[in-house]
Amino acid sequence: MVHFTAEEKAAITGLWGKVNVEEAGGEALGRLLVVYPWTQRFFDSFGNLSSPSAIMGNPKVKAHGKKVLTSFGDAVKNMDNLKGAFAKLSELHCDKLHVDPENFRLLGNVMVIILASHFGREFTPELQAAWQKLVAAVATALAHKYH
Amino acid sequence: MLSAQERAHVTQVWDLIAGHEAPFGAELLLRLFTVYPSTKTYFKHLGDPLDEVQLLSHGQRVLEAVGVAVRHMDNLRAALSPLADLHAHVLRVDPTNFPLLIQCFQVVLASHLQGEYTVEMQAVWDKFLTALAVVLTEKYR
Repeated sequence: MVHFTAEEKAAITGLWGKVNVEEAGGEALGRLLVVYPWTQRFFDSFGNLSSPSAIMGNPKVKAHGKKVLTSFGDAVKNMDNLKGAFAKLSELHCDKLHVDPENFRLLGNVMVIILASHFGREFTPELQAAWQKLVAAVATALAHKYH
Repeated sequence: MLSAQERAHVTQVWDLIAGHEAPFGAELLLRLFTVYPSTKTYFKHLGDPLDEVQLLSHGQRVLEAVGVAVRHMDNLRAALSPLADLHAHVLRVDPTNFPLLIQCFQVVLASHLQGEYTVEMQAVWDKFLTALAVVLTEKYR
């Protein structure tokens, strides 16, 4: 099981408190769909995904991004038991959504890049390390129930 | 491989880095080593703890190579052939490490450019750096 030090937890929660989850969520999902276009395969029902501006402005992308990032907030609150916290979501992503877990790693990396763009110099190598550790652990937790 | 618009995005971002290869490169490597400690196994010559002068020097070398790639976007294979040979026969960096370096590169760009780091820039640089990594590992076997 992944263990987060007190410093890592403080760094993560400190930054998370300043994140606008609604905006960042839409941005994260939007950037995922633009930078890795094959991820659009899960979102046929989302309407216009024909260009970067269409994707970033798409209201369904923004809404779903907000949903995803809000759920990520649960990770921040449950760093000591990510597998437990994401067990149900893991089953959902495997059995109903059929999402390759590689997509969780891609989204996690995009999230880190967005945090870097929001926080600039404040996003130190140490902060990046803590966050990369968290997004990797969340991706693993989300893949844990796959069968 | 890269459209005209994509090439414009590459040079647009590069123009912001040019002249600052050493500090950018040093930050890139520092992030790589901090976030992914196993990558340090390829850089024992940079010292432990890290020697700042060496870090700047090596960071500059890495970013200058990216600069070469930017100037030869139409023919990466020819322009980077010597570096490809080096990586294949001498350095032999496991290919799985290049995505880690690319992630750190994106974080450096994003943290410096902030709101100016558009989704188009991110997409193009991810594509460009990935193509670079492919060329560097192409002669491995």
